[in-house]
Amino acid sequence: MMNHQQVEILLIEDNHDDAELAIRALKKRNLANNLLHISDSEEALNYLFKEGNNNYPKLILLDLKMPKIDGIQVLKRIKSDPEKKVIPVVMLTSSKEEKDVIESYNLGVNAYIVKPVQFDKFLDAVDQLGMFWLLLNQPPR
Amino acid sequence: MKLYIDRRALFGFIVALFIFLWLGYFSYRNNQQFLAAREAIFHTTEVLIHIEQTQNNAVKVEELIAKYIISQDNTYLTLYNHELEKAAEHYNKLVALTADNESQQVKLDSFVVAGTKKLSLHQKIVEAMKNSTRREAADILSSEENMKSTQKVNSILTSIRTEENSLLLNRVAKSKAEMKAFETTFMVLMVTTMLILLAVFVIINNSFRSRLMAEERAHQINSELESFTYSVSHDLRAPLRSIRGFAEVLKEEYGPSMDQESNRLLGIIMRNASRMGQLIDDLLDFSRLGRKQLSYSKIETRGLVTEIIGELTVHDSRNVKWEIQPLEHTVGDLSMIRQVWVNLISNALKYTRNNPEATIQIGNYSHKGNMVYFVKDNGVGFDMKYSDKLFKVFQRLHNNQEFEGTGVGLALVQRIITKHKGKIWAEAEVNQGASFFFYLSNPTI
Repeated sequence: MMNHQQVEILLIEDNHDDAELAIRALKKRNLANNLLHISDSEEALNYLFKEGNNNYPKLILLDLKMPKIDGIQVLKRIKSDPEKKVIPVVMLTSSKEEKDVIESYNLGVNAYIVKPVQFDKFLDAVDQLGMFWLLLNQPPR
Repeated sequence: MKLYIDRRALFGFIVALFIFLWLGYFSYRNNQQFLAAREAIFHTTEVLIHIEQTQNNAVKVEELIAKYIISQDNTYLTLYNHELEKAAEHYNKLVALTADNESQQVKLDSFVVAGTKKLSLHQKIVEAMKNSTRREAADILSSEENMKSTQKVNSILTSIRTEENSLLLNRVAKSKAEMKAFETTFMVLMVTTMLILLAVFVIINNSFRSRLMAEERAHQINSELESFTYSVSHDLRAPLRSIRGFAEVLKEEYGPSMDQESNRLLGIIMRNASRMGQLIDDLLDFSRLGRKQLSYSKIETRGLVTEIIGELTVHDSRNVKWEIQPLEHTVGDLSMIRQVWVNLISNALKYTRNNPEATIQIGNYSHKGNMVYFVKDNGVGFDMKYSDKLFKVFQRLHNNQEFEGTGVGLALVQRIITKHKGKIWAEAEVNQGASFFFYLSNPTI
């Protein structure tokens, strides 16, 4: 998609509908220009841990519940890598279950967002994320 | 005291207890009997000794009188009298000892008759001797009458002795039989008690095991439920999010170019998707509450209620008259009790909203040692005949067009209050408002 460019946001989400909503929300805030969506967690890990790839995303949006390798395991891999552990990771999930929150924070997640059912609330959440992790870190366009 | 023990085990315990009590009493009674039997045997032996002595005296008396005749020595007469005295003593003892034995008393009476006859013969001998007619005295001594008298006395004494002897044998045999019976009964009762206690042990052990199994099963069901709610929260919400989200996109991007009817239909889809989301959230809250542990703290009710009213009315321009009494502190799980107040007050607000002069009263009063809190409104109320449905999950007394809601709020409130070992109830009348009362049983902290 845009591998030759600087990837700003890596979205790891197996549900294409959720991914589309997230991308639309980010686009509305003009944040989806350099976004890469990978729907398979294994593939996402391969991308991140590809040899010679020093082009890390500025933010990873990570879905918690995915087949094969779930979000917690992906988070574990990222946060146990000496170089990649500095990449901010935000968990995106529909779960409010406390043990997920606690487990994610124990693994060093930077933020945790429960995907609200209502799109406008989701937009607010994404808006706050974008403001916090990207807009403050880059010069305004 | 409430009993949790198995009924059969309890019965076994009671039976064992009674057997033990009976064993104690039985041993005591048997001991008393044994002592009494021993006493009776001593008694009989004593009687026998006296009979023997009397028999000896009788022989000696006869001997001494003969010696007196032969030697004419008065010393023998003195000895004779002495021997008679001793015989009288033994006789008196025998009378006293066999006072309860009629047949022996009869025999002793005939002994007295025979003895008196014997003594009168002896008296004649002594008189003859004093009159210096020795020949006469010797004749009397060897007379057939005297011989018969001696035999008579002897046979009576032997008869008394035989009877007493058989009595002794009887008593000894009876005592032995009683002892044997006691031993047998004692052993049987002991073994029975042991068997009962063994059975009780098995019963208790079994009931304990089945309880442990039930506990394990409950744990298993609980964890199944947990994973169920987990997947509900994930898998049911994801498609809903898409329905709602894409409907929103559709409305935003293509709404202006669609006709009014299309927009209305889209609105229905969105509204119902939201409602479904709310239902799932409420249901999850409700199920999560069942697993949550209470963490008790002191709750400043007045501050809490004021804060909640502030939050609930911040976007509300309605004019509601609040009558709030001074509210007592309580002890409970703050987040849960907060939920109770939020639900009750928001209900009061919801169901008074068609009343232009809405009044909501919040207060408390002390009743039977409990602090009862209440929220009263003058809203639409409800018919008391449906009050049993009030606190049930997904049960509503108003339809969704009149007053929105999922029917979880009051069920949640009741569940929280039940967890606090308290009680909640309501009083209402159609169009006259509703009142909700609750109290918590406060633990001492």
